[in-house]
Amino acid sequence: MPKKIIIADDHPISGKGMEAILKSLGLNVIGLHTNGLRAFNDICLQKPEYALLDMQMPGMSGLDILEKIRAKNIKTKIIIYTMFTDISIFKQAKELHADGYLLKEFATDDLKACIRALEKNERWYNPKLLEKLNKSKTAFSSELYNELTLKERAVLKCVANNMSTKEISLEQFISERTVETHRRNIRNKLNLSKKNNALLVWALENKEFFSLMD
Amino acid sequence: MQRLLLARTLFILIVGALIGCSQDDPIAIPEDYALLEKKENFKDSLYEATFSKAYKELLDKKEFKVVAALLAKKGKALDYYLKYDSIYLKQSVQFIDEHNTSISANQNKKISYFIGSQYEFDRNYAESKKWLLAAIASSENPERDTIVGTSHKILSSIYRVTTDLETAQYHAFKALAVFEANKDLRNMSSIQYNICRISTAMNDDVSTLKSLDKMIYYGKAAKDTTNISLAYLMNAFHFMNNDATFKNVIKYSDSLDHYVSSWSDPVPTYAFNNAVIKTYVHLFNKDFEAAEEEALKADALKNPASNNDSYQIDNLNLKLSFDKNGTYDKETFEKMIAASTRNRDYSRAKSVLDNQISIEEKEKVYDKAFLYLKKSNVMRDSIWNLELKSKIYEFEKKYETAKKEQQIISQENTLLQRNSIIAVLALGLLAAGFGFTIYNNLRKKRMLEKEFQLQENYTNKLLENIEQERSRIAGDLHDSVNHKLLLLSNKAKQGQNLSVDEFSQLIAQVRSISHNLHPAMFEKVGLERSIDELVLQIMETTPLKITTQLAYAKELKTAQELQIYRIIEEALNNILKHSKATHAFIKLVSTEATLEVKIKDNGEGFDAVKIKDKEANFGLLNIEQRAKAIKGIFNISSSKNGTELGLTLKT
Repeated sequence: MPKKIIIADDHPISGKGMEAILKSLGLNVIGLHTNGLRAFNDICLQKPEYALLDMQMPGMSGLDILEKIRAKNIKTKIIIYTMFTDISIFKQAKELHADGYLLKEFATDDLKACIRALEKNERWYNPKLLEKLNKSKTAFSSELYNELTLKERAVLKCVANNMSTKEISLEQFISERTVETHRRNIRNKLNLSKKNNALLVWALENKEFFSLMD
Repeated sequence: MQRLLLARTLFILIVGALIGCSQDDPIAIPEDYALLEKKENFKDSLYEATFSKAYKELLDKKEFKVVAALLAKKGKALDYYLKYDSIYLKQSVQFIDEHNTSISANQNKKISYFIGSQYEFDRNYAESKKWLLAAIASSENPERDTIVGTSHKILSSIYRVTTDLETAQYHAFKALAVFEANKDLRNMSSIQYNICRISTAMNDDVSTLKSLDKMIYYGKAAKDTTNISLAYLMNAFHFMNNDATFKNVIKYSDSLDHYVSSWSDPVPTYAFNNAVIKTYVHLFNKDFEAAEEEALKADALKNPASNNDSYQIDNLNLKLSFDKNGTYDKETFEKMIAASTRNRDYSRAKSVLDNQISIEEKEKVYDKAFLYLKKSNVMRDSIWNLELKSKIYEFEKKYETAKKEQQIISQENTLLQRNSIIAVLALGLLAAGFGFTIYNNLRKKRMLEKEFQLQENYTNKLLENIEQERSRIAGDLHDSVNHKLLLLSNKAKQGQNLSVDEFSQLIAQVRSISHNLHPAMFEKVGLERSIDELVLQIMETTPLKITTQLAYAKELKTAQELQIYRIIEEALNNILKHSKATHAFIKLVSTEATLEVKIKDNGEGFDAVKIKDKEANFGLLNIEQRAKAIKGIFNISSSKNGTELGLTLKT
């Protein structure tokens, strides 16, 4: 028996396009809505296997529907498709456990790949967005830095200024052993490798960042 | 009678205050008398016998410290249950007289306080004052000692009762200072009761209502139902006398009703007064049936030992029957008139008498009417007397201030006479002062004008900017989007193949235009993520490196969030355009009551003062105006090592 799906898109032509693709994939389109609220009510009523939701719609947005469906514990798998390439929106949808996330530009290919993954009970997100999301994580992390104590920050600043352990101990009025302990603790807190110059490399690379933070 | 009732409830409050704060003495009570340890056992039938046995035995053994501890325990229990005990009073006074040197200063202080409190129950104000002052004097830390605070409180009510209002006020504020130093919310609330009563006696309605507000406020903070109810009760009674529309009475009556009915074990006086007030409200609404029902309820709740409660009920029934039938019940009427004279409740007696006079007049019983008229006149005189007293008090105060002013003036005069040079100098000074005021005014005016000018410039700039922005968008749409679309349409016309890439470029362009106009799905995605997105985008398209520290608890409205987003956007724009910075840092952190926004860069900086005056600097002005719009405090500091913009908001 073909699986049922409901489509919600405020542009009827785009919706019709999606309908045609889905039909060619052997799915049974049981509803095509241009209003978010109506789509939501229909999903609640018919509980189809899938729902394909546009992001921006009158009535309710795709994210709103996703949130409500999750809250109601309805098993329908939700696929969001949108024009937006914003990581912020993508993150939001991921957090609400969207089962699929497609970009309208690549709708034809994305939709096929997505339905295939969903049939295997896997989630599917647009690879370009995933790549962008990963890239955004590699920037300097203020959270890790904020875990350092004031003394550790002072030591880190000295390290960034290319000072030796001895010089640091003289400037900070602490013993060389303590400086070493601080270095070790900083490395651990920042998840750096155990190599001795890992800290120096990191400090030089991120000097400008953390000197702005205090 | 209201007053006496409230004075009684005051004691409950004092006691409530004491429970929480007196420290336990480390001295152990012998096991045989463990019953005396807890004040809750006071109601036990064996308590008195155990106490007198213990007292005698330990006194014989000369264990003075233990005896003192026992006395303190019983004093606390007596205070808690509002009991006057003459034997206890005698014992304590005698004990302190004979053995005050063999017990600690702290014990001396405590027992003195309880003696003072007991004397106050007995209305022996002179003795009470003496002991309370002794308790205050023997405290080692009078600024934070709760015993000192509560002693001041009792002193305040004593002075109020003996109509020395100024001294009463002095003690009330002393007590308040102690409670405030200890952050003792419950007592901070209950002392407001004293202040309220003093203000009422001074005919100062504003202060009365203010102190009741505070009483409710602190009472709610301390979750003290007794104080909150008392404050509502006072409010209701206050407005019953002062508010002909009854609107406020109804409001406070409802609040009182809410509290009393949600109270699992209400103090009976509150339930009683609640019923009384509700009866009056029903009477005002001419709902006699409900009023009668409430009056019956009040009657059932009254304290049979209290004259005030009976008086209150009699009054209520009298008014009820008069409002309903237009006549008074003779017996209750006479009783009422006699009682109200005794209670100095003249205005009520007068209104009842006046009603009766018009009844008798209608029925042409002139001798009686004349009799009542005479009585009514006596009442009027008494009211007038009371009013006069408070007027005199007011004038006295005014006179004192005037006298002081007069003194200052006369001193100045003598000085002037003595030394004419000084007079000339003073005149010169005056002239200088006058000149300075004029100058100051002019300066202020100029400053205002300047500000207005700045504001106007800003508006003009803003309009100009909108126009520029529009033409930029139009340009973007026309030059790139429309141009490419035309190209594509021509290709299509000629039957050429259209590539997906061409469309993708076009889509990206439209996306970037719309993104520049408004952050996508801002409301849904939230401030934090939108800032993340902005940062990501800038890092993708420019060499500027940005780090963020975002911990924003969603506490503002979306419109305000958008302003903050725009401020950050504008700040980053400024950094990109002017600063030559390589790194920037954005902080958005909510703390308990504020939201802190900070944007720092490591650029070359600028002269913050100079640039502020420059008209050209629209970006900064824009940030400032936006900060003003959301009532934020905006500051900026810049050096050659970088610039820091700060914005603090109360949330």
